[in-house]
Amino acid sequence: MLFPTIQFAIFFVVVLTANWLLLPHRRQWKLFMLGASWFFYGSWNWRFVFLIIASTLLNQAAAVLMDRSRDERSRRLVLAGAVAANLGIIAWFKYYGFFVTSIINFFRTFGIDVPLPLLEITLPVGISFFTFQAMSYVIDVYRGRETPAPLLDFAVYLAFFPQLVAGPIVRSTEFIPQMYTRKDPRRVDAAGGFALIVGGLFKKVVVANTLAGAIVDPMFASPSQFTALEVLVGVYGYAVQIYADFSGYTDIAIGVARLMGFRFPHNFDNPYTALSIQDFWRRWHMTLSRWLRDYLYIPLGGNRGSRATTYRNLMLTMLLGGLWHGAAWTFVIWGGYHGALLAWERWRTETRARPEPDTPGRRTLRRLATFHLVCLGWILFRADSMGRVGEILSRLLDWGPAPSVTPAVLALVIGGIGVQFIPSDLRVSLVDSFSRLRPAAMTAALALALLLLDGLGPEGVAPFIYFQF
Amino acid sequence: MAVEEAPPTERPTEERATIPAGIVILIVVTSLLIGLLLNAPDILRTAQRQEPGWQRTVGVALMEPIASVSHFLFLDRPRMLIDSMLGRERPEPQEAAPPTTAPPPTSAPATTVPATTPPSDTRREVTAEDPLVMYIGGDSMVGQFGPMLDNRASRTGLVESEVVYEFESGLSRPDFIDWPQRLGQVSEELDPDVFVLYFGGNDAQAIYMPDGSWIDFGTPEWEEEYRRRVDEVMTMLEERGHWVYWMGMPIVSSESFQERVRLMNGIYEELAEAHPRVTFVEAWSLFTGPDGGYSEYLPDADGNLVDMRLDDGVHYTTAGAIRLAEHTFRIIAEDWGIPLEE
Repeated sequence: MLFPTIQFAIFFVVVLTANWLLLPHRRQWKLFMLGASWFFYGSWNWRFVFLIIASTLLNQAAAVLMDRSRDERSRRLVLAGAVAANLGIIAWFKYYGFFVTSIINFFRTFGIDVPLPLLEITLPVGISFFTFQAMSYVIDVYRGRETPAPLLDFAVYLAFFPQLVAGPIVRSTEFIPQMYTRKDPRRVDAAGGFALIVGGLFKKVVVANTLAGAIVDPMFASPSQFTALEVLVGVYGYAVQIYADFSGYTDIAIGVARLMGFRFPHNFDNPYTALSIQDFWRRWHMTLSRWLRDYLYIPLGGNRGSRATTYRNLMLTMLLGGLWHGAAWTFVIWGGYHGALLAWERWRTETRARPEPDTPGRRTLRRLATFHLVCLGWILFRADSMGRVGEILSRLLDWGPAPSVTPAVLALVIGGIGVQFIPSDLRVSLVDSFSRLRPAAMTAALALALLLLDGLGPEGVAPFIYFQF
Repeated sequence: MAVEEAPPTERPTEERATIPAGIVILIVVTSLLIGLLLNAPDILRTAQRQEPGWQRTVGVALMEPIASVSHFLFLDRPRMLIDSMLGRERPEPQEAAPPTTAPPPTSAPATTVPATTPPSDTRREVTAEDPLVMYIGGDSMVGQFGPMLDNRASRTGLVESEVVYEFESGLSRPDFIDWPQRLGQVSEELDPDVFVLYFGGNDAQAIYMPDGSWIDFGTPEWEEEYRRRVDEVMTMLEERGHWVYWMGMPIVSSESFQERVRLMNGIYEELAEAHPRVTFVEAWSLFTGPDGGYSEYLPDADGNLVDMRLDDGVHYTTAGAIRLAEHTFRIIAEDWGIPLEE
């Protein structure tokens, strides 16, 4: 059940109504929300509802065991078991084929035939997201930052439908207390929720889907058919597409939760305005960045050791972050590329005698350089092989007519990047103004938005890019 | 890594007016209903294109009166204006008995070569100055395969291609996309030397008839009608002087779907043999494993095992599309005397 569909609209009206009606009855609310979330997830493949149930029981059991045990060694064993089980679930569903074919192909180069079984395994949608949420919960319980929640609370947290399949990666400490906060049904931040939903839908349906069909997909499939300018705009187009697609989804998720009285963390903060790669990762998929920071980078030692250790930790974190995105070597290389850039930036900062002057001209140059380094990374991310990466880069030397660079494509690319430079205060004040409209005017504005969304977007419903992660 | 940053938080909304939950629900429901009226023709089309079943029946039954009300109240006009401004040709929603169907083969206008004059059996010479013009079209199976075939063929410098595919389309559902009519148009406007056609991914469903009735899949009537439609396309294109490469469906993961695919492949192959200008490109065995069954992983050109099929067990990954494109292009290149080397 994708967000931009009539099925979801009907589902949401029912859930939104029940959400507010059941609010005074906490237990009924939880049971209803759990059922609705499992129904939402089961609409992709009902069998995988059992996977979420298994993940819930497994992680809750680990949390309770750790909480009850006073023996540090036992607690550590339980934690290790829970983390291994979570990683095992992801490894089985997401990486089995990748690992097995990599091993077979590696040994094949030495003429050795390794008879490993190749299985056809369907990837459950959103597995990387809910498994990371579950892991953050058990690790936080182990660290004593959280006590085990009641099973029903944890089950609702893990399955809550808005963020279930593509984030943001919400922590149990952010979500579960909100189930107990008394929400005032007379004071709903409707304007904030509506703005996020409509903005997210526009990003996905109009910007991302149009760019995908108009230039990005054809260019990445067959770069030899395109001249340098088309390839360049195709790469910029993908930068905008993936941002619009992913941030669009999380905006809708945050907006849907907002209308139900929940507040989720932001996931994007104008990433293409970043002044450095480090700054980019502070603005891109922020809930994954902080997950990797808190549960991988810092436990590895963070920046507490020698310079070399810090670089190693950065590289390891980004390599695994790359692998999290997909079971392919291109994703690993993409992660390594970002790890190397982060290490290089850190080295430059640490070895510089004087701080870099901060002038408007320099900031512009830094933004341009960062954006293009990120775009180079997106080629690695989007291309299906390193051969295709080389093909795309080589096309940048072949200048000629560029019929695919239409005014509409250019407008979407420039607009998609330019809109990130609009000051946040202005956006917030626009939403504040919207919030002061009368309900009838708000209704008319939303209906008009629905007309434009359906009319301006290409036909059909394309899945979100991050669903595959 | 964003190692020093605090977790992202919500922005404050002190200046923001809030409203009661009941009004929020009312706004959501009302705006969705108005949105439904404003977009009614498009939503009706979406409902109609679904496979036959209760969801389609309910969707169409609900949307038809809404579309009528929308039209009566002029609420569909803004949407029509947007479509016309964007240059989109969105057909009017079908009523109970849609008139659109493929023209009978005998009535197809033969613009390139008159029907009375049989086209020559010999292929013309392909040169860099006068390259082979290839139209690659069909359902979502073309999505990965089409660009890869285009990519492979263009590397010779002797082929120019156009790739067009429509999700959820096929020969069973002319009420959604009338492929015979569209291919007739392509024949007139593009006049390609070669048509590479890929159908079957969505055709194992009930066939929609011009009178609005349906013929269930698996019945002798279905087979007869589907055979007639495939033959109609082959005949039309052949009579107009085109050469056709009709792609077969690959082995699929679902055993029940395998039976359906075998039936369709049998029809394509048998009819292709009856048409001198039509070649059936067998894809089934190209994607079977060592045991002759479905295999997601197969060796690529370098001998490395790679994932050839998407999780749905039907469509191709890029590697799978490259495998099929190479196979298909070798057949085309041999027929047209095109060297395989770049």
